[in-house]
Amino acid sequence: MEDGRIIDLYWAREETAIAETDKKYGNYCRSLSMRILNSREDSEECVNDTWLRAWDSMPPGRPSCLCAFLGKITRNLSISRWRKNHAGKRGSGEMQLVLTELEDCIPSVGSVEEELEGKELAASIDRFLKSLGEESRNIFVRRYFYLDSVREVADRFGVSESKVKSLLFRLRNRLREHLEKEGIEL
Amino acid sequence: MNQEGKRKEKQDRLLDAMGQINDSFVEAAQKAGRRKTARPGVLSFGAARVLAACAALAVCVVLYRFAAIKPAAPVQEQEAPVQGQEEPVREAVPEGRSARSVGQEAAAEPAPASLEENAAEDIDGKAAALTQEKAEGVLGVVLEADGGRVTFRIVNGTDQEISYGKRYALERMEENGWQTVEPSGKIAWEDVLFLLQAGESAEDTIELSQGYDRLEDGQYRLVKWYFLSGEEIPLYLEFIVDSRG
Repeated sequence: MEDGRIIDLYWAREETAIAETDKKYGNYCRSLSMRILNSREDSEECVNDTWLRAWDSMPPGRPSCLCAFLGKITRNLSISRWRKNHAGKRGSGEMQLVLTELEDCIPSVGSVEEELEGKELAASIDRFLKSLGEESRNIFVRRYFYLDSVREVADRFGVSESKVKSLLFRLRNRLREHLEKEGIEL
Repeated sequence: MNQEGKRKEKQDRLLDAMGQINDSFVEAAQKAGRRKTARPGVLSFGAARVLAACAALAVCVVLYRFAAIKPAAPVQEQEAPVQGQEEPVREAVPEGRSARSVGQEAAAEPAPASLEENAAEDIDGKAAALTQEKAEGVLGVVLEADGGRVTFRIVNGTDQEISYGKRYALERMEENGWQTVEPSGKIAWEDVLFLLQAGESAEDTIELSQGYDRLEDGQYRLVKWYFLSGEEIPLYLEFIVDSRG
């Protein structure tokens, strides 16, 4: 079913909206959540909560891109769940690897203007992503939005893992420089 | 806050900010990549394997073509004209066993050797086009079908693990193309995930009567979805219901 029709179902308060969403995006959201939580039970709950959030958001919302809309909700819920599960400690897994890698992007203290709100930081990252070539951008997003493992990224783009690692390393450094240039501190 | 706490907070802020990036980047990355593209004129090893399996399966399709159209015909009689054909591809779900158990067992088996051995045999292109589908290196073939059940085989011709569940949709060929056949009631999907390693195959049977009225004569296809590298991909399995057969 087309996204527009699914959204119409939400607006009409038809409960089939959720079934249709699950049919089209269920696996997409489950796999995203699974990468973060590594628990079928937890990710199932996050996906169900995603449908609930979608139900509460539409109307009045009418997302221009349902896939990204649902992906973002699932990601945020899953990360919140992960934090709750790992309160006070940081374990292993893909999430921890990603977090450690993201340290490379943190601007050095001294370039500070003022602390930015999350949205402003995201807008700055958007500008950075826009400046990248298509493949570099997609690889960066696969790793740090979808939390794909390096192996998965390599498979998806048909390149070696070492190439992905070195590309991501360069991109993280470039993001740090970009944030510093824009006077951003985290 | 100590140094460690600040560091974690910064990591979290970056992670959260990545979750708010522009939708177009999220969508583009979801659709991006996925396939290794072979150079023009050069078949990758994976593609060659897929093609070999495809050709071999087409032979099986010919064998089961009549079984699909005339399910009442004895299986043995259909097989007779082809010499040296091995059996395992068309193993039906035995009485008293669930399709799930058959699928799970089959999932652990490699694709039958007979598929490879028969690759060079003649192929009935029309029958293959009707009942066999290749999607992104994954092959699906309907082995048996009537108005109440469909037995099919999925072959993972990729070089990665795929997964799929019980969910399916049913479509019927109408004058204006494929149209969804709405179920007569609500279908509850069993929460099972099948895993198929590269090169493996599995067989399953869907009891259509659990969600649909008995199908009228016509051309149908099942739509199954499988996961490869986190991406959902549809697989179409066509079959004909002909009660006059």
